[in-house]
Amino acid sequence: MLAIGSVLIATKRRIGGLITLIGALWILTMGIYYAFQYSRIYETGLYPVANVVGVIILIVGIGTVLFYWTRIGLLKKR
Amino acid sequence: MSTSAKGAGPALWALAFIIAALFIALIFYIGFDILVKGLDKPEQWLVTQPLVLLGREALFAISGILWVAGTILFFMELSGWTLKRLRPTRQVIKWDAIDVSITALTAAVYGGALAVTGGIPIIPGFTWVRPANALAPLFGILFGIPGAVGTSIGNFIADALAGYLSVGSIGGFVGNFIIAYVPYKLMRDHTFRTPRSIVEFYVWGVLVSSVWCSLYISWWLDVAEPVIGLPKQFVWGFFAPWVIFNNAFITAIVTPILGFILYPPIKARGLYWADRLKIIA
Repeated sequence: MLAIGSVLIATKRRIGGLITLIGALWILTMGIYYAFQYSRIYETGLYPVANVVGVIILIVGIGTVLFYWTRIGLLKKR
Repeated sequence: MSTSAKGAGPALWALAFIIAALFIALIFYIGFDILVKGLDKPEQWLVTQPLVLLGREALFAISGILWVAGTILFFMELSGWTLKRLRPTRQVIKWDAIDVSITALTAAVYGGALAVTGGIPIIPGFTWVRPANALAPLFGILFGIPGAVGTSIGNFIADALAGYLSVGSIGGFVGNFIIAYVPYKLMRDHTFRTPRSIVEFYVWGVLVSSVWCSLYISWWLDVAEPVIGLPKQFVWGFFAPWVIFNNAFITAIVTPILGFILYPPIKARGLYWADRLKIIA
């Protein structure tokens, strides 16, 4: 997905950005999943770790997008 | 065209509030019924009875049709086509940096918020208590397709965090898209400020989207039973009714309030989907 998205961006296709985003988040998701599985977090019931990672994703995601929207002036009323 | 808040008479408002109150009362009654009968007796729940009446064969057939329709719509919308008066029509979603950032934002918010309650399983390995479900229809109603795709990705992230990532997650990916897509596409008034908007929300955003999502995922779990291993009886007798309730309960109560608060700032900043989408007739 990441490779296809990159090619689409390079060829200036509109959907490239979305495909790249899906690919990047897919890799992030699988990375988290295998990291948790490897460290036996699912088996040992250390769910607070997963919950905390969820909160971090929430805060970082909102923060990054709001920072970007502020920079491009999107948060001003039109 | 939406009915303006000023143009709606008191009778229409009263009717809208009665319909909303009936929906909420029914959902509370279903929840109370589940609590009284116990989580271990899903075959006795009120919400299970329509599914029992239909039977597995009929449910499988109906859900199969909904699965095919949902999957076609998912890929149509992503490839720049939509249905307008039941006809395939070209639409232009810019998919510029703003649309992509909307998808990223909704994915992070939905995924993170779902993961926060990931430690409270209802069916271990398949579903958990999910108050963040209230966000899915909201993201569709406010942001359209970029928001709906964000909810799909967010659900995928939450599945991984909660340890529920499996072949079943493929069904969840499109199933969560449907929760956001149905109210986005079928509500005519997304403002939460008119009687029409409120009634439309309860019909499409609460009832239809919850049932469609549940049947979509259940059908997928049924078909993928050899890989996933969840018995068919369990899929239709526990998972399906629980997902309907889990989606509808929090959506009926929280989403209209969030929508009422968030619609004006989203609209004022040009982020509302209708201001960013172009339909080619």
